[in-house]
Amino acid sequence: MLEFRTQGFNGYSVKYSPFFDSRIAVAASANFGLVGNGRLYILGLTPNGIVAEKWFDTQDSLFDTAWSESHESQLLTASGDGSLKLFDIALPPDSPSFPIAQWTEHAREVFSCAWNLVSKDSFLSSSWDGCVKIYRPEMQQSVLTLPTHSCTYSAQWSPHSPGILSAVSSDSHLRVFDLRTPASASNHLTLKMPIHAPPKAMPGQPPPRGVPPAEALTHDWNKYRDSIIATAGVDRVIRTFDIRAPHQGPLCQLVGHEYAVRKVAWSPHLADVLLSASYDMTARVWSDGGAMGIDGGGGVGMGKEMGRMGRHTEFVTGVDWCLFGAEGWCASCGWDERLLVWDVRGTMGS
Amino acid sequence: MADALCGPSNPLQNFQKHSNVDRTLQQDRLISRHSPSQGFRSSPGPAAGSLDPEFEAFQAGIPTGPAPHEFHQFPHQPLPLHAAEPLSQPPGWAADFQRLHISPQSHSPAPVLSPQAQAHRQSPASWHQDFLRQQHTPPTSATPPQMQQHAPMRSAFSSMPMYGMHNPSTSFYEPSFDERPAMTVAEGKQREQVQAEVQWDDAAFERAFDAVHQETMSTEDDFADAFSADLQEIGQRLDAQNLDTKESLEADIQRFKDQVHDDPLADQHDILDAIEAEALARQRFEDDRLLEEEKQDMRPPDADEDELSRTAGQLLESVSHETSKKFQESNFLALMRRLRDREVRVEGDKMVEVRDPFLTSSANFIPSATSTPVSTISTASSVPMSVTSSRTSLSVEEAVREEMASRPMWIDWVDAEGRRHIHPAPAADEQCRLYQTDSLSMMNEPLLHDRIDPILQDSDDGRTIYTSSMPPEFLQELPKYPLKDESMMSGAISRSNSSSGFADDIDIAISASVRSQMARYEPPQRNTTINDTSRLNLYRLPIESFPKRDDHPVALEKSVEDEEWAS
Repeated sequence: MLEFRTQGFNGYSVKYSPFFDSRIAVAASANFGLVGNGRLYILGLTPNGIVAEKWFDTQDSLFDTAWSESHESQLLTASGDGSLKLFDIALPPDSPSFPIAQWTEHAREVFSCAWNLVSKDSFLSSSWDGCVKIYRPEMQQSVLTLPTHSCTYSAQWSPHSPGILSAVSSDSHLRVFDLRTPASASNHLTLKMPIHAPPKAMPGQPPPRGVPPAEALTHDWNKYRDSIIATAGVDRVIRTFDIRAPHQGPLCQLVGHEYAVRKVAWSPHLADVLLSASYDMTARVWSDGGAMGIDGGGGVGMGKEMGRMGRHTEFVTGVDWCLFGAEGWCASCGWDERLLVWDVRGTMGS
Repeated sequence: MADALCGPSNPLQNFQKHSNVDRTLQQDRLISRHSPSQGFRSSPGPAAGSLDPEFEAFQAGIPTGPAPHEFHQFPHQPLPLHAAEPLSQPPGWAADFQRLHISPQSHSPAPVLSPQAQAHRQSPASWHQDFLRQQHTPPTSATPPQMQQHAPMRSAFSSMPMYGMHNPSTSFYEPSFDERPAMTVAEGKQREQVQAEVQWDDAAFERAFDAVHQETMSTEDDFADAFSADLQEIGQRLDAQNLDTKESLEADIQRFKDQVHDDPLADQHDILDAIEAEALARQRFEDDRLLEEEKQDMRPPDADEDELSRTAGQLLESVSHETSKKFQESNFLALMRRLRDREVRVEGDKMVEVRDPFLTSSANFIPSATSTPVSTISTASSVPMSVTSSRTSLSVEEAVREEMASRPMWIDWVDAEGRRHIHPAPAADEQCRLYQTDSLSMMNEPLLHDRIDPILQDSDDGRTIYTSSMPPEFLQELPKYPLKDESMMSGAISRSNSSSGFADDIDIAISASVRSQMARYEPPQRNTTINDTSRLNLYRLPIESFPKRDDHPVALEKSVEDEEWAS
């Protein structure tokens, strides 16, 4: 397990570079993001451990970061002052560490940002001001604003279609927007699914009970099953949904975290494995039982926890999988000012 | 867009929601504070069902013009009705009243009205004509039939000051029902005041009703019954009302009562006087409101701080059952504790240590048995309520009341005369725990103890009031809240800025903590048992917060030099 200490800054988000297997970005904030500055770390994995190749200080806290999918040295940050900043790490070392572009459109803290994984020519942000905004790096204003009317903690592009994106928010709903639909009163909203809905009733069993709505903090698209989304949030349960069948409730409920789940990420290598980070100071590896592409819609309740990493000493806020090499490497960051790079296989079977 | 949905005024508050704490109690309290701001119409009082159709008909019938409020029509309703249908439908007064609201324009069958009454209803703005006609009416004796004839004109007077004089261009809704409540009653601390007014108004209504009742009883019992019922309904509806509205309604009732008693021509000067008085009252009310708004404007920074501290406290409560080592040693949770205890606060975009006189100057005061370094506070299972501080420009009483409304504790403060007050504050909810604190144990300190000359009183509801020269009026204002638990919480309200005057600028610091084994508060002469799992926040009364003897000659009979008991 490799470790890097983000001295004085509490990690909020970690992302592996999609271009280099040895480069990791960490968005961190002073004072746990309550007040103060933010810092974006660009870390390199070297034979001598993890070293900081570069960092950028920002005026306000940083809550998320996303690498550009089209440019190997650029990355975005989501900031507490409502702005998105695009940094370029290839600038000469003596140049001032300012962002090369900035979009200040949100009225409140921006809590997530994501680069379009398919078309690679746009990115999005979501904010507490109840909006998801879509930008293009070459344009100075956002190109589209999609209202969600509640604090949107997480928004993601579909990894399978260039025009589909999703968002989860504090109203306990998963929204899917399809930009191919005509702009109308619905603002491209094609699906709004209650996350707290009970799972489908099974024959011979008592109907499952509903749960009260809880704020959804994170979600992710499965990288292999193109209609599967995992969500998690304040109610501590990770749920997987099939957006083709929005009314049947969650396919799978992964129960185990003791506090709210802050981040989930599907494996880029395995169709059934996902990683979660939680306020209970652990990161956990799960299988939702939908492996091998047997039946994406089946496997209700077959999920299980496969491993647990408890080295963080404060809330774990970010996890990300390494896209390269062996299929178990990942990175996690937390409020203990530490970035950990570890292999999930080392946590299994214990 | 989603500000109202998202709510958080600081990021910590948002984070706190993540920890899935049940905040319904808190929200209940916040919501209930806003309830008085509901308008007259929007609050479904006990009589809402019966009065709403009337209002609908009233609106449908007289859609334009400064139509008189239904309440003010009471004076001229009964008497025309009585003239038209003397005894045929005695119990149906309310129904007739409803029909009477339908204006002539609507061509519905209305009871026969006297010409004066009709003229008044069709052109309410022409009250001055009524007024003039009234002046030329020869004085008559107050025999019942003649009173009935003159009643419509009196009614014109009764409703006149409201619409004709003060708000010639607007309908009555604008000043008295919509804007004022929205602007004024949003302030939670006015609540008690408003409630007091409500009670007072009820009494006024009772008196008014009695007067009317006696007046009418001699002539028409049935009418009187129906009228009294409606008056009571109106009185009940007023419970949801704004202070201003109530004042004006009450004034109208009073005016109506006077007019029923007196000769209509004799009281014109009185009416004019009343109009002036009301104008003055409105002006005063407006001034008060502006003052309140100014106070509100001054508050936000501290309110934010309070919110942060409170949120931190809630967050800690939500993890208080956590016993794992990681949570015990968490830096973040330690920071939350410090935020809650106000050892750290947010200043600009920094976290700064609070140089608190409570923490620094009084270390020698702390009984060594109970003192624990603040930095090593353990998360005992019983985490006390969060500590708040209100550095506002409230008066002492307001601050005390506000603080009592928000959390359970004992309150210990010294008023401008140097009298020290220690009394239990109300419990905010069933689960509140009360704590024995170090500020009570502080009274074991002989130096301080000698200064306050305590009197112990047992109240009938189980509270023990520990006081020295507590003014009786303040005792009366103490809410009757029973203590729910076996231990108790204490606090100190002390002066934070002596230059601005004691009554205006105070600092409430609650020292919460040592979980006591005592069943009740006991006199400080006895020893208190202190549990090992106690956590302790070392807030002490700063020396300078006590009024000096020279400043307050009433206070503190035995003298110990301030420097002496500081050391």
